[in-house]
Amino acid sequence: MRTHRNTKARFVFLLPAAIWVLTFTIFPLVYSLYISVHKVETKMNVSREKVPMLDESGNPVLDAKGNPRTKIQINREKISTWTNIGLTNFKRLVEDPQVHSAIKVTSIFVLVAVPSQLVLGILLALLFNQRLWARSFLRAVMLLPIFATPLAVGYLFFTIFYEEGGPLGFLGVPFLSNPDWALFSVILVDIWQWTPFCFLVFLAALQGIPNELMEAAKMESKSKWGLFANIIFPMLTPTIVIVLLLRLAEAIKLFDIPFALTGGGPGVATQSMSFLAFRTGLRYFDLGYASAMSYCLLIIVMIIVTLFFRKLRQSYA
Amino acid sequence: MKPKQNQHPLKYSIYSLIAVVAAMIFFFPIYWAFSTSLRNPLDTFTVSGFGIPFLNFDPTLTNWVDQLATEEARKAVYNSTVIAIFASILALALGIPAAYALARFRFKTISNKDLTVWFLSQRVLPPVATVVPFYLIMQFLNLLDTQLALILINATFVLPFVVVIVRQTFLDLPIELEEAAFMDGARNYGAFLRVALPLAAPAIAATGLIMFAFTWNEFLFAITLSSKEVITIPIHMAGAVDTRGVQFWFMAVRAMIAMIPPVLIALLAQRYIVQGLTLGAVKG
Amino acid sequence: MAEVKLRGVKKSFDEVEVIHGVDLEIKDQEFVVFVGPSGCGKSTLLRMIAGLEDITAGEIYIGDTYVNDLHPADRGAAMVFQSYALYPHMSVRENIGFGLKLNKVPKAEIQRKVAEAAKILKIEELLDRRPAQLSGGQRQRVAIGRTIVREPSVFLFDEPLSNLDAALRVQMRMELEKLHANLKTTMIYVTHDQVEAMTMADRIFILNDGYVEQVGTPLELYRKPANIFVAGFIGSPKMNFLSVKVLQIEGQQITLQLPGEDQMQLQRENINFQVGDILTLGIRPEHFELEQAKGCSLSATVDIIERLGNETYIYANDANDNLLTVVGDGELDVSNKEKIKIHFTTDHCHLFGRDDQSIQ
Repeated sequence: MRTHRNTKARFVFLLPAAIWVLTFTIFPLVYSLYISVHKVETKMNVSREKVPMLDESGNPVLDAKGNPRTKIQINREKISTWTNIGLTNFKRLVEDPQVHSAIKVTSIFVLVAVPSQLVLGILLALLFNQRLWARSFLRAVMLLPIFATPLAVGYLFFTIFYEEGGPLGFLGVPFLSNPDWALFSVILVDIWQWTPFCFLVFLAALQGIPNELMEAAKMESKSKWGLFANIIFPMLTPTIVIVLLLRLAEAIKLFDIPFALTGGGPGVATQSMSFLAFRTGLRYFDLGYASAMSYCLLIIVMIIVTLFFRKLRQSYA
Repeated sequence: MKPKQNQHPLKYSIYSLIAVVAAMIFFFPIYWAFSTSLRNPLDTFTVSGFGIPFLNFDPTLTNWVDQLATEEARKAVYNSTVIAIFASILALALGIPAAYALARFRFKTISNKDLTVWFLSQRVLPPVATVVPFYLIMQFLNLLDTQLALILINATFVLPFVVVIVRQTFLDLPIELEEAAFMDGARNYGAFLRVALPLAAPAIAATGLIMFAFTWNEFLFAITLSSKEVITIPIHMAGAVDTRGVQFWFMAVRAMIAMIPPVLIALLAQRYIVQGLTLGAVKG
Repeated sequence: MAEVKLRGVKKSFDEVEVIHGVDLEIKDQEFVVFVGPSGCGKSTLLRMIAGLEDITAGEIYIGDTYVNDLHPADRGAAMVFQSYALYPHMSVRENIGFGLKLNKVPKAEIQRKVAEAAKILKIEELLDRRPAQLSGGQRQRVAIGRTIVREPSVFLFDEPLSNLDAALRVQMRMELEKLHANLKTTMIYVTHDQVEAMTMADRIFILNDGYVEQVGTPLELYRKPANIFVAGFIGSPKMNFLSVKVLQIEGQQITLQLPGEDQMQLQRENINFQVGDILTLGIRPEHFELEQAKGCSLSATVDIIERLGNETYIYANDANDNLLTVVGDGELDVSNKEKIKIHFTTDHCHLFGRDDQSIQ
C-alpha cells in the first residue's frame, strides 16, 4: 500500500475519531465495570411543603382577606445510594436462573439462526448466479429486509404470526403462545431479515470466482456436486468465515425482535441476554446487577470473537 | 463467475420460479404491513386471499390519516429525522478524515490494518453493555430525553462503518492524483479537500444515507435515553401496543412509517450497498 | 533553471535497500535520462528528487537548496506521471491551472498562463473538456501543460510515453525535444526504453539494481560501454557476447581463441588477466559483416532469418552453439542452414573481464 510521506497531519486526521471512540466506548465500559461492583438503590423521597401560590407574573395571590394563599407542593427527590459490594453481583449472576435461561435462549437462537441464514444465503446465491427472469429486480427486492427497522419487523411478524386470524392462522401453530414455538418464531424472523445479507455477500463472492476456473473444472468433470465441493466451496470459505463472524456478533445482541414480537415471553422463553440486562437495568433499575450482567455478555462475546480470530489466523498461516 | 449462457429452457423456468417465490417470501411481510395499513380496522382479520388492495378489499386511507394527524406521530417523525441526519453528519465528520489517515498514511507502533480492525471491533460490542453507564452519564449531564444525547450515541455506533467503508473508497482512488496535487503545490489538507474528497463524494453520500438508515432504525438507546420528549419512530411504535392493545392497523401504519425511509434508501443506494457490504466482507 | 545534485543517496523499503549510494550531478538545462530495466530504481530515484519518497540516507540539492526535508510543493520541481494523473473531476483548463489557483495567483494571470501553455502544446480547443473525453496523447499534453505553467526549475518525467502506441510515441518524443529546446530548463526523464534514452538525452544515467552503472552521452555509452550490462542494454539488436580464451599475451597484444577454429588478436593496455582465462568478447550485430572479408572472421550456421525490408536479421549458431545476431543488408542473399563466415574488425570489439568490466 503506497502512502504519502509521513507528516504530523496524519494525527490531525485520525485523532478526532480515535478520541471519540475512546471517550464514548472505552470510558463507558470502564464506568460500567465500576458500577457493577456497586449496589445502586434509588429511593424516592417524598415530602410535602407549604408553598406560597403565585400567579402568572410571579406575584403572590391574595385571598379575600388580603392574606397570601398557599398550596401544598409535593417534592419528589430521587436519591441514589451506592454501596460497594465487590463481586457480589457477579456471584449472583452465576446462580440466577433467569441468567441461565437467558444464556440458553440466546445460545439456541444463535446456534440455529446463524447457520440457517448462512446455508440459505449460499443456496440463494447459487440460485441467483444463474440467468433468471427479472434477475436484477428480484435481487433488489431481496435486499429490502436488511434495512427494515428491526423493531417494526418484530411487530409486523406479530401481526403475521397472530394466531387468531393472522394470515398464517390457518396453520394452527401456536407461534406466540407456546414457549418453544415462540423462540422458533424469533429465530424465523431473524432468518427472514438477515438471510438477504448473507445472500448478497455470497453472491458477490461467487461472482468474484474467475470464469476460467469454473470452465476448466467443467471440462474435467460433469458432476455438479463435485464442482461445488471442490471449487466453489473452497473459494467461498474465507467469505463464509467473515459472514459467520459478522452475523454471530450481531445475533448475540438480540434485542429488538423479542421486544416486539413476544415481549420476552411467553414467560422468559424468548428473553435474550440483552433483553434481560436491559430489563434489569432500566425497568427494575437494579443498575449494579445489570452492569455486571452486560459485562458478562461483553466478555462472552469477546471470547467467542477472539477464538474465532485465532482460528482465522491459523487457517491462513 | 458469469451466469451460465446456454441454459435449458426448463431449467430457466424452474430456477426463475424458485427465485420469484423466494423474493415473494422476503417481500411478503412488508407487503402485508402495506396491505393491513390500508384496510378498514374491522377487516383486519377477515380479509380474503392475499389481501391485495382493490382486489380483495377496498383500501382506505383512514388509518394513515388518523395516525399522521396525531401530534405524537409527527413528533416521532421529526425526532427520528433530526437525530438521524445529525448523527450521520457527525459520524461522517469524524470518520472521513480518520478513513483518509488509515488509507494514506503510515503509523508507527500500530499498523493501519490493526487500527482498522480496532475500529471495526467496536461493532462487536453489545450496545447493552454501555446502556447503563450511558444512562447515568446522560442523567448526570442533564441530557436525558434530549436529541443531543441520541445524536452523540448514534454517531458513535455508526462511526466504525464510516471508517471502514470510506477507507476502502480512498484506497480505490489512484494515489497518483494526490501526488500530482503535491507536485502542483498542494499540502496534505489541500490534496485531501480538493482531490480525494470530491472524487470520493458519491461513495460518501451513499455511506451517509446508509448511516441515516441505521440510526433511523435504532431502538435500544432511544428507549433508554428518552421518556417524553424525544420519541423516535420505533418508540412510537412500541407505544401502540402498550397503551391501546392489539391495534394492528395502527401498528401497520407505524411500521410502514418506520420502514419506508430506510427501504427507500436501500433502493436508491442499492448498488452502493452491495458494493460496500461485500467489499467489507469479501476483502475482510 | 537549476542543477540537481545527489550525494550518497540511499533508499530502503523496510529492511531492503533498493538504492545503494547514488552520486550524480545534473547540469543546469541538461536533458538527462535515467534508464534501466524494471526494478532498477530509476522511478524511485526520480520520486526521491520530487519529494514523493523519503530519503533513507544522503543529500539531494536542487539548485543550491538542500531539499531532503522539503515538501514536494516547495522544491520547485514539476512532474509528469506515467498515468498522467489528471484530475478527473476538473476540466482541462482547471487541471492546468490547479497549481496556480492553490498559490492564489490572480485569475487573470492564470488565464494568461493556461492559454500560453495550451498554445505551445496545441490543446487550445480542449480546454473545456474533461480528461475522460481525451485521447491518450491529448491527456499527456495536458499533463505536460500542468507542469509548464508552474515554471519549475526542474521538470521530472516518469515514463510518460509508455502508455502511448508506437507512432504516437515517436511524435511525442520529437515534441518533448522541441519543448526542451524552447523552455531551456533542466529535465530529468525516466524510461526503460533505451531508444528513448538514446534519442532524447544529453546525458544518460544507466541504472541496474539500485546502482548507477555508467554515465555518459548516448554515443559514449554506445561506443564505450563500461561493462557487460551497459553493453547489452544499449543498442538494438543486443550486442553479441562470445566466450573467448586467452591464448597468448605479448606486451599489449592479446591472442584470443574464438569459438570454432579461428583466432584473433587485440591490443589492450590494462592486462589484468592471464593466459588460459576465459573472457567475454562483445561485438554489435551491426558490426558483423557477411559479404566483404576484412579483419577477423568466425564460422557459424544460419538458424533463423528475419527480413525487415531495409535490413535482414540473421540468427546463427557458432561452434559452441551460441546464438549470434547479425544485421545485414535488406537484399542479403542467405538461406537457412547455410554455413557462413562472419567478419569483423578489432576496433568494433569490446573485451570484458571475469568481473564483467570493460578492459581498455
